[in-house]
Amino acid sequence: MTGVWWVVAALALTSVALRVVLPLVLGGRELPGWLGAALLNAGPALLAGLVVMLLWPSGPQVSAFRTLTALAGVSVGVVLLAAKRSILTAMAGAALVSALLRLLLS
Amino acid sequence: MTERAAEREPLGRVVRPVVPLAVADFADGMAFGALAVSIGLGVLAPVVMSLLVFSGSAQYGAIAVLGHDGSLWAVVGTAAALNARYLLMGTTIAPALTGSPWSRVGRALLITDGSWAVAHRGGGRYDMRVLTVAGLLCLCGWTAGTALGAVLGGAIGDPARFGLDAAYPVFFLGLLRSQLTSGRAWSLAAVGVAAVAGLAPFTPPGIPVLLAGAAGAVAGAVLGARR
Repeated sequence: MTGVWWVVAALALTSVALRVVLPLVLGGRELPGWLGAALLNAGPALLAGLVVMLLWPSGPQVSAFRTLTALAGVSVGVVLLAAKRSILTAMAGAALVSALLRLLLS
Repeated sequence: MTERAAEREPLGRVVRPVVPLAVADFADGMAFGALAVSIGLGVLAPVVMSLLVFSGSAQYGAIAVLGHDGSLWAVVGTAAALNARYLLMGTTIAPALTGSPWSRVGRALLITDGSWAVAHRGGGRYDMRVLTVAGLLCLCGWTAGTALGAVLGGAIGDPARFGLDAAYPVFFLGLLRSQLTSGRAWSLAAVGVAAVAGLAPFTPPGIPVLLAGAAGAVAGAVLGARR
């Protein structure tokens, strides 16, 4: 097995373990009340955190131009969502504006 | 909505909210496939990786580490940090995961940010049928996209020009919109934003989201105690 395949195998094992262990142990059981309430509160925070993480530059190789054009696209998406448009429409609008800005300004 | 009620829903209604996510995964998978080939992983390894790992963040992180000649342990550590949030997601969804151990494992393997979020029905309830359909469609999109990207390679060009990095946050904002029905939910979302924004510059990628969820849980307990 070459190095690349060791990496694939190790990543697969890590990913499977993180996804499966707790659902396998806790699956189908009622969580203790305090834990259920805590996880209920975690939902909005986790979703909002995901949004910020996706917008956060993943490294120095990501330029400010790319981040700003992504933010501009997301802003358009937010406006569309606020106008009660569907998620698909808002996603398409965000990608389109971001792509157009990159095409025109780069 | 209970799982039994959800099973009576027409399949089209279950699939519809998932389609944009699967399409975005396909396009993102193409970008990943092209990137993986560009650092010398070949065509087959990225496709198998997408099928078995099924996590864009972990796979991009692994590619970044490999691209800098990182060790196997560095790759695994990065992927584990990036995917640590699945522990929290798995815990939230566990009570709805009934059936045999194999059935629970099969469904748990389909947990992604997108399938977890789109399956959430509010109030801590999850629609397992939506999770399964979303997970399978996204797995197909992600893996097929990776294969196409790996075959086309550099012909795709810079994937950033498609603006997908702006579309993904909007998807999660759209799902968050349906949860922001009270001042308390807004407060919890603000805690999540503050946690990630405050921690992202100082912690490994992936950890801030996990801690954002934990901070939301603590904040919810504090808010609850004051009421």
